[in-house]
Formats: sequence, C-alpha cells, structure tokens
Amino acid sequence: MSHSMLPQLKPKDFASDQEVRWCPGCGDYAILKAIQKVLADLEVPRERSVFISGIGCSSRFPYYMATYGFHTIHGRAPAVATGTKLANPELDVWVITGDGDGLSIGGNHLVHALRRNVDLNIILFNNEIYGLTKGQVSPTSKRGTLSPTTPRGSVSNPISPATMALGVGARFVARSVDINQAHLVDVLKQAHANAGTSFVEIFQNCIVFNDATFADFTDKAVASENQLLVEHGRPLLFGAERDRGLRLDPSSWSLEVVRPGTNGITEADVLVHDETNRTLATMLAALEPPDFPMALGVLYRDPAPTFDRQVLAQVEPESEGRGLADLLYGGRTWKVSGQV
Amino acid sequence: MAEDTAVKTREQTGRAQVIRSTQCTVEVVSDSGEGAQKCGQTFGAVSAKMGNGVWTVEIIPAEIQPPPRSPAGASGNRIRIGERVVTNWGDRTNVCIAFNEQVLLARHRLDAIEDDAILLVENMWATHSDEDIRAEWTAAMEELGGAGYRIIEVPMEQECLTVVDNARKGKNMFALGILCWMFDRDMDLTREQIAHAFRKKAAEITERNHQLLELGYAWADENLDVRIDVRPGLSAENTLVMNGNQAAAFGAVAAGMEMAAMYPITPATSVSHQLGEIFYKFGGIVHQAEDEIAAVGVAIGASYSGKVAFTITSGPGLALKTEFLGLSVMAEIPLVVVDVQRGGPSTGLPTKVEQSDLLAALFGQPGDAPHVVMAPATIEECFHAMITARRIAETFRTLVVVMTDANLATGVQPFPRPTLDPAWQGSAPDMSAIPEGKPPYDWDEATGLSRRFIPGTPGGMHTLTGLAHDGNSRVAYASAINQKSSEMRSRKMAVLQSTLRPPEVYGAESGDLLVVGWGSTKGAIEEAVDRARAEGVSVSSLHLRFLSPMEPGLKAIFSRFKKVMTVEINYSDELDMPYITEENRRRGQLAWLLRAQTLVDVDCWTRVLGEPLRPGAIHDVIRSNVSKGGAA
Repeated sequence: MSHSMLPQLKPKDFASDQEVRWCPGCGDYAILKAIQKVLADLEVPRERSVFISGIGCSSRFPYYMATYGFHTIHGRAPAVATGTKLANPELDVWVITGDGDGLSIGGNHLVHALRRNVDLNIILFNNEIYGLTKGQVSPTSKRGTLSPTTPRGSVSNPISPATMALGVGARFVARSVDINQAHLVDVLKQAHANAGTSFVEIFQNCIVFNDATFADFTDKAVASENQLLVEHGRPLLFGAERDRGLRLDPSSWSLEVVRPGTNGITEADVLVHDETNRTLATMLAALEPPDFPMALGVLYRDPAPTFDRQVLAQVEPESEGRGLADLLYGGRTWKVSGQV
Repeated sequence: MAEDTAVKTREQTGRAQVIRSTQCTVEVVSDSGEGAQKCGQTFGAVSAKMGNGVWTVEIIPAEIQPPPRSPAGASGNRIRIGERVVTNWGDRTNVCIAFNEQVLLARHRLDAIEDDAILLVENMWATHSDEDIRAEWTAAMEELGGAGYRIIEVPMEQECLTVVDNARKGKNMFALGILCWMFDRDMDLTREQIAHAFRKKAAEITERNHQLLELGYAWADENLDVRIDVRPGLSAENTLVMNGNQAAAFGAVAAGMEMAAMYPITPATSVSHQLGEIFYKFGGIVHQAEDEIAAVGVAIGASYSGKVAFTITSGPGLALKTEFLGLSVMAEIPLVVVDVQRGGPSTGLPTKVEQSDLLAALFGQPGDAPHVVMAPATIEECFHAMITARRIAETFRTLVVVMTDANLATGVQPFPRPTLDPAWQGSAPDMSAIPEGKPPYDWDEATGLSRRFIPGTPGGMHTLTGLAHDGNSRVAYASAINQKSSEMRSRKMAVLQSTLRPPEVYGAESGDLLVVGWGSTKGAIEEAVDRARAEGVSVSSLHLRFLSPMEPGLKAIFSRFKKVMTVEINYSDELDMPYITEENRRRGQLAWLLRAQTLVDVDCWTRVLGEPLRPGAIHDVIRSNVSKGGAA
C-alpha cells in the first residue's frame, strides 16, 4: 500500500481513549507526545505498530497509544518483543522500558536484545529512580541518593545506559531529553529508521521522587552550555556561542574541552563526530557535567544485519518434498518384515 | 527370564545352549566416553527392526567426564527386548557386558542385576601393570563371584588390538558383535545400522566398525556356549523407533508449531536438538534464549503475534518461568510448555527421572491461574500430546503444560508410524478486519471463549495486559471486574473437562485394589497388574492423561474398588516412619490431587530412587496392599 493512499493521520489519531495516569508534570507526557507525532509524521499504519512494555511508570505507555500494545511483566519486555518481531517481521515493534525495568530486573534481556540486534526500537525512560513503588534507588541513581531503602545514601555506582549498550554491541545508541521536543522527535525518527535494535535513552524527569536530577544539563539556564548536540560529520562544538569543543588528548587517550581561538587551538583541532566510530561514541557517552557537557543525539549508528531477518532467512521452508511424511516414512524408519 | 525359560540345545553347533525366553534385559556399561551408549542403542534399534519389542534406558553418570574405572562413572544403556511390545525397563538385567569390573560392580550394588545373570567383563584389568588396578579387579571379582552370577571374562582389549591401534575406541562394536551372536541378530541389519550411526564420519570408520563387529561375533561363536532366543513376535507393520524427546519434536512439527524457544536444560534439551535438524525445513525456528524466563517470553511474544510457539524445560526452568505462565493465562495467550521432569528440588538429579513437578505445574503460578496440564504416558503419546496441546491452547486461549519425564525423554521404543492428518497443522490465525467496537476479550458468557486479536489485524488495536482487566482489556479499577474475568478464565477449564472422556480401567471394572498412575509409569504399572492378576489378585489400574482439568468420572470408578492408591515417582512419607501420622503424612502428588478432587481416601506408594519404577516392586506393593486390607 502506498503511503499516499493512506488518510493523513495526526498525532491525536495515535492517542487511545484511556485517561493518562502519570503524575502532573511527569516527563512521560512529553515523550508520549513525541512518539505520537513521530508515528503520525511517518504515516505508520496503526495496526502495524506494537508497543511492548514491562512494569513501572514508563511501562504504562502502551495504554495511551491507539496501536497494538502489550503491558507484560517486570523487565521482560525485550524477550516478548523479540518473539513478536520474529513471528511477524512486518510489525513495527517498540519496547518501552525504564531504568529499573530495563537495567535492573530486566538487564539480562536488554543486553541480549542489543547484542542480537533484533529490529526493535528500545526506548528507555531514565529518571534515576523507582517511581511506581514510591521512590527507591534505581540502577542509574547517583551515588549518595537518599531513598527509603538507602536512608543513609546509596553506595552503589550507577550504570551508564548508553555506555552499557555500546559495550554489549548495540548498533544504534542515541540520547535525548524529555523537555526538548524537537530534538526528541528527531532522534526517535532516526531510531525508527534504523534497522536493528535502536537504543534510545531519554533523560526523563520524575517530578515527585527525583525532581531536577538532570538539572545540571537540562535547566534552561545551563542547557545550551552543558549539552553537546552531536551530529554526524559536524565538529563536536557546544555552548551558546559554540565556542567550546572536544579534542582528543593523545597523552591520556581521553577527551578534553578546548576553546578554539585560544592557546593556539583552532577549529581544526576539534573532533568531528563520526557516528560509526564506536570508540568515540563510548567516550562521548561517558562524559557528564560539571567537567564536560552531556552528549545528546545519535552517538553511534553502524547498521548490521538484523537478528530477525537472519533467523528467518535460515528457516525458509524447502519448496519440494513431502515434508514431515518424508521424515517419518523415510530414512530411519522401515517396514518390519514378517518373521517369527 | 528364568520364570518362562524353556531350555533347548542349539542344533547347529551342538555346543551352545539356547535359552528361549519371551523377554530379556541387556545392559552395556563402560566408563563415560567408551561408546557403550552407541553399542546399546544399535543393539536396541536392530532388535526393533527385527520385530522385537524394545525399551531402552540410558545409564548416565551425572558428570561429563567422571574418573575412569569408578562405580560412579558407569555409563551405558539398558535394553529390554521382548517377543511382544515392551512397555518399560523391567526389573533387573539378565545379561550385562562391561568394559571394566568397577562399572559392573556399580550395577551390582544398585541391585540392577538378576541373580542368575550372565556377565561378560573385559579382563585386561586382571593382568594390568598397575598393582592397584589388579587389586581392585580381584576384590571386585570376589564380591561379584559371591553373588552367584555366571561371569565370563572377555579379552576385549587384546582382540580389538588386532584391528585397531586404540582399543578404547573399538570395544563397543566388538561388544555389539558378541551381543549379535548371543541374540542371533540379523548381521546385515546391524551393519546397516552402524553405517547409519556413523554416517557423518569418514567411511573408514564404518568399515573399521564393521570389522570389529564381525570380530566380536566370531570371538563369541568360538568361545561362548550360551545363546538367548527372544523371538521377534511383532506383526509386520510400519514402525518408528525414537525416544520421547524426539517424539515430542516430531509431534511439534506434526502439530504445525512454528517456534520452539528454549534454554539448555537436562533432560529437555534434546527436543531442541531434534528440532534443530528438521524444524527449519518447515519454517520453524529454534530460539535459544538468554535464560529460561526469556525463553517463555519469546514464545509468548511469538504467540501474541500469531505464530504457534512452545517452550521446553525441566523443573528448575519451570520454576523460573512461573511469572510468565501467569501472564499467558491472564492475557489469554495460547502457549504450550513441555516440562521434561527430572529429580528435584533445586538442581536435584538432573539426568534422572522423577514426577515431582506435578503440583508446581498446576499451582506454581501465584494468583489464580487456571490452565491445562497433560501427561503423555508413552513415547508414542509424546508425539500426539503436542498436537492435542496445540489445539487446546488455541481453542481455549490458554496455557497447556505437557509433562513428560527423563524416562520418556531418553527411553527408546518402537511404535506404529502415525498417519499424518493435515488438520493437525491447524489453520492460519484469523487476521480479517475486526468490526469496530468488538472487545479483545469478547467472552462468550457460557464458555469464556473469545477471538484473539493479533497485531497487524486492522481494527483490533488494543493493549493486552497482565493487570486485571475487563473485556476491553482495560485495567480493572471496579471491584466486580476481577471477579468476572476470573470466572471467564476458570470457565474454560470446565468446558474443556466436559469434552473429555472418563479414563479406561485396565483390568476388571471393580475389585480389591485400583492403582492410579500418570506419566511414564504406565508400562510398569500395567505389567505389575498383569502379574498380580495372573496370580489371582483382584487389582486393576487407571492412568490419567489430564491432570488439569481431570478426566471425568473418577469418583464413580474409585467407588467400585475397596482400595485406591497411586503409584508415583515422587516423595511421600510412610506411616511406619518416625513422627509420621495420618494427619501429617505428606502424600504423593497425584494422591494429594485425587483426595482433594474426589474426597476418596486415596493411598499412595512412591519412590524417588532416580530410576524408573520396576514392575517387580509395584507387583510387591500390589500384593501387600491387597493382602493387608483390600481383600475381603
């Protein structure tokens, strides 16, 4: 069916009739709006999209979409989604997960979906806290986080979702922020366009249990100074005046912030983003304020054959032969000759 | 064997004594890796091809490579052959061929050997250069000699070295040659079977194995003076020979299944190996997931989007899958789970048979999760169970657990080739446009049945959920909704039960004792019942294929017997044990269920010996129970 034959769909056509039950001011609303816009812009038939989630605030997402959806069990959405995609590769399968769902109870499944490169869009809402169960630390919570289960401060180191994804072999890793609607829509469209597992970490503010945890790079006052919006082929410059950039310090094999035009540094010294460079992506993913900007956008994209297509290519039924009858009636079977 | 032996002299040689018997049990045991399995399997397959009834059981050490010459390392095969159909592994072995005396000792100590058995043992150890080994040989032969067996020393190493450089790689085919002489096996068939078994290896290997086979045959002809005559008495018909895991795999194909999602676990894994060989030819996918939980998750995901999917596992894996099994019930997604039971709890006895997962399979899911539990009783039924399970899972939008066990999984038996029915393949899921307003759980009030909406179907967009929900799949915030949807899910079990037939009683319809079993014990129970009935004992048996919902009419059947008891391979207390009373006694799992379901005072006899039940042991139980109180 050609797209021009479809009636023009609007974002609201992707909204279900169910009342949205996130807390007022939750970052999830903005993500819902962005995804509804992405689907409308892409003119994806509603019956071909499936949103599969686990458990947690983010995982209530499928209820609010006028597509197919499956609110499964805690942490296991990537497994269900893998089966769904294998069974019908024509479906557009999205996994909606959070930092607790995807990185704690479901860490194993996330890792394996990523390394297999199943053609899924995995959207991880990272708010660094357990919201639905009322405010316990999550695997991405910063050290020292005070919570009902860590009343004297968390002593566990947080996982960096994007770094982990790159480490286990993801072929598409991107980051965005709930409140930057235009950037979010753009990143989600690129994720959707990528064949294979597209992993998108969205910094999402939990207004009730972990408000302002990302303020050091999302506050209006500091956003332009502390966000590095990466684009393939463009120099890694940031700041309101784009006056700072990243350079590779060859003595320490690490990135450093430089100001072109000072100390003999020119714009030519600033690294150019190459989204196919996993090493660079891994370095970018590890940067964080206050010493560095937070890198946002498509950190890494290097498409490879997808798991589902490769699996299905191996199981093309043989066109000739009688199938099971041949197996059961030939070879290792026989007619017992009459003898006593 | 002795009971029905008619002795006659073999005319052809004038030398060998021929023992005529209706059945005989043979064991081949060696250290792990010496090929006793292959010898036993080939002997079993050839016997089946000749028209003998056959049942084989693997003798498996728990470790991959146990120390050589250790009783714990005994590895091999038990092959019971008969004139007619053989339904179980029997009691004790009549002939045992062993590659060292330690593994033979292991079988002796496990009480696996018949008092008048013929034992053939490699004798290179008697003259071994290592003094300790010679001492072990002497001690072992003394212990075995005291038991009254007929022991024949065989110079396997010495003989095999005339053909191969490394006798360790050839003794199994030499041993097969001996067995072929003893049981007068068709040598052409045997050569063919060897060629098939080694078809993936170089042609020289088959050739060398043929030489070793003939060497063993010639050695036996020269040196042995006893042969055993178990006549092939089965009528000429088309037969398949396979184990229960293979049967389940073929059954899955016959049932039109399209995906097997699994995680390796003994003793279930070989289902996926068999499928790996054939499934792709039918478009089927074997998916090895990252863990047991993901395996069932992938199967649920595939079923959700319209493929016929199942997962295979064993006890520890079943435990891990429980939350997803609850989801399959709650969201009404068809799912077939095959539980190949092993010993438990925890890691338990990974390679050994047990029937201890029954209650876990029925009630393992927290919350009320009504679903179907079936148990094939024979290897042949492992094939057909997959077809039935698929049909029930789809018709009732529910979970079906098929319970087999290590005995069925690894036992090999011939059975008639099934006549394939295209209807088994089912039909493609209905993806025609769904009328506006039709809810995703459009429950038929009487039956609880409803059409499932598969992603991709126009007009059916909705979100399935593991949360309590109404017919529109909307989360249940109103109190009456959960009551209603629970009722709908439960109703389906009653509807299924209404389609089942009452089970058949094996033996008389009434009497002193009724033995009730489930799963792989059927053959042993019925053989024991036959023996007892031949002695005039008033006993019958009954075998259940459905454990949830249960087949109808049980209470009426039970009421015709003075006593009802289950025989199972799981643990139960006995009343003569310390502290055990009628009040605190923990009973066999089927007994537990039957008592709850029928209010009949069902007794039980169970054992967890890590081996199939022996018909002789069940026979003793029948006799003692009838004389104790059953008989008038």
